[in-house]
Amino acid sequence: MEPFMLLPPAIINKMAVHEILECNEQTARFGLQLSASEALELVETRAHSLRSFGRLEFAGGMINKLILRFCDSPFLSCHNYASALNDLIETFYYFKNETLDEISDDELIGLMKVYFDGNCQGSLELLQNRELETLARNIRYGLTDYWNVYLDKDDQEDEEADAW
Amino acid sequence: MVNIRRKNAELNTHLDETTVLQSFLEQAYQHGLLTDVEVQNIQIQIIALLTKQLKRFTHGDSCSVKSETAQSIMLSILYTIGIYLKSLSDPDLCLNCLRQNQINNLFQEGRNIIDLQISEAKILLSAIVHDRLTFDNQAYSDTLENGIPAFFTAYDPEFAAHETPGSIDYPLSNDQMDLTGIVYIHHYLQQLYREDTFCLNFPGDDIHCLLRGYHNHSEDLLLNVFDLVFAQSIGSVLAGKPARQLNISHQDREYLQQRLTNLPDQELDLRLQHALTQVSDDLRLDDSSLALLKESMTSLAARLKNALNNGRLEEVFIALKSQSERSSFVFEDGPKLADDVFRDITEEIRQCRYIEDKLTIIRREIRSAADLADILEASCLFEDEYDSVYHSLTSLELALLIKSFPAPDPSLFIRSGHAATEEIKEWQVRLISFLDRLVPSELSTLLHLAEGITLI
Repeated sequence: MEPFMLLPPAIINKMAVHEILECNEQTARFGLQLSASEALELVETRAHSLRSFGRLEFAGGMINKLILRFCDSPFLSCHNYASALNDLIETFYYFKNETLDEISDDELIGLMKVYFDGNCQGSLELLQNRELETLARNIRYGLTDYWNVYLDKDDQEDEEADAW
Repeated sequence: MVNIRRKNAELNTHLDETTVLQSFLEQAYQHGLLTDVEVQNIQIQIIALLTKQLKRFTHGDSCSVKSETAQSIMLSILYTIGIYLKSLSDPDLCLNCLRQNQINNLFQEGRNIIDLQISEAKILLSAIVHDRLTFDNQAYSDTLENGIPAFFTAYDPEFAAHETPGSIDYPLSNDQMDLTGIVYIHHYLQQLYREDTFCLNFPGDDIHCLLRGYHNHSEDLLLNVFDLVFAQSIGSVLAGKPARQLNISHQDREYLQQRLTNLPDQELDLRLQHALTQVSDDLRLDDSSLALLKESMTSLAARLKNALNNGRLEEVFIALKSQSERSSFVFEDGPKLADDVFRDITEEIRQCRYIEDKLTIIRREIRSAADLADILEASCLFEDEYDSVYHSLTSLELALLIKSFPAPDPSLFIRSGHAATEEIKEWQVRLISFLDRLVPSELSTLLHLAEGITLI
């Protein structure tokens, strides 16, 4: 299907960068701010992720949601803020596919934040390869408490305790 | 097909529903019937409609979807608008509609048509089921009882209007397989209703006999009963009999072969047209049924000409076969052995050195045809030992083994010599080669016996 080009991509990017920079007002109190070039990089990461994961975005605002949700994380500082956001954007779209679109954007971002600040202690590798992988598997297996990524581990510990 | 010529431009609306809008816009733009601004405005409206539908699809929970999902919803939108545009018989009207109306309105009109077609299709289905033909055919029953109801359960007119869920096995005389979505189902049911209505003019028993004459296992075949009944009725009229009579005798066929063989094509077509008119008059058919017969006449004429040239008129005008000719007796199989007992017997047979001992055990222990087939399959016998077993069996036992061959027609299966297909097992391959070595009359008796057995 031929894509319809309503607005030139440059204008769309400019609007998105402007929206992202508006978040600086709220994140400044945590010592986190993005420059215009970093904001543009986030927009490009989003476009690249959408392309590579075969998704189509029809409403904006996902990057802003991610920024506002993660800005109070104790594991983000001005040194890793922009690069972490890039990784989080990519992770978000990857796991939208992996969770079969079964959970909403807000819920996925919320769970990412809980795992990132909690069990992962700020490690993006653990977030991607352990917590979110387990979450996605739980959803695919149809578990109702899919958010509980330690369900198996608890059971295993219980079983071990019983064995002793 | 609807075409218009305006400013030397030709617009064709006889297209698939999902492509009609795009093609229409393209043609209109190329021929200057729509301006740049108008085309762009329509495109913007379609994108806005897609966004609205995607938001509804995700319940506002997500701002992105998989590309395939978006593409499918886009196709559904185009299909819905296409249905409405195609419902406007005049392409000028389509153009005005696109210029003056919001795409949203066109989409809504399309949705209304889809809803209407769904209701009509449901009514048609209940009418068909109510007056359904009583003939025994798996595909016909499955389609009416499972396939089409499954369509109504799974069909999503909002987000997947262009898809055709469900499964339709029963073939129509003139099936338009290029249609999709509710348009296909609506057309299918309309056509099936007309076909069934025509067939209801004939006694159910005659149709049963006709199908039996067509094939002994007609209940398992994908055949169209209307085509058979229609051909019989035309043949009957050509032979000077009433249209309602489906029975065409051997003498009738010989008479038709003599009368029709050397006729020029035009003359034959003329006779067929006269026969068609007479069938229509005799059965007092309405315009809709008459149109159906006219549509089917082309293929019948081609089949008839072919059959006349090859002297195989019985392929088109079938000899009826009554129930009594088919099944001569019913066989009730003996009780099957328990699994552990069966295992012990196969082990005992395997340990025997001589075939005579194996035969003795088989004779002593096996009491049912199903167990006999299982023993043959249980790797207890090797190479020539199969032949020894078959030699030791009675005609009835052999016939029962033949009966267990893959359906629908073991005799055809054996006669065609298709021994090396994956479906059949080693003992069956060896049985086929054993049967091949029999005297033809003996084989024929066996096959006839197998044909006459009804296993319960």
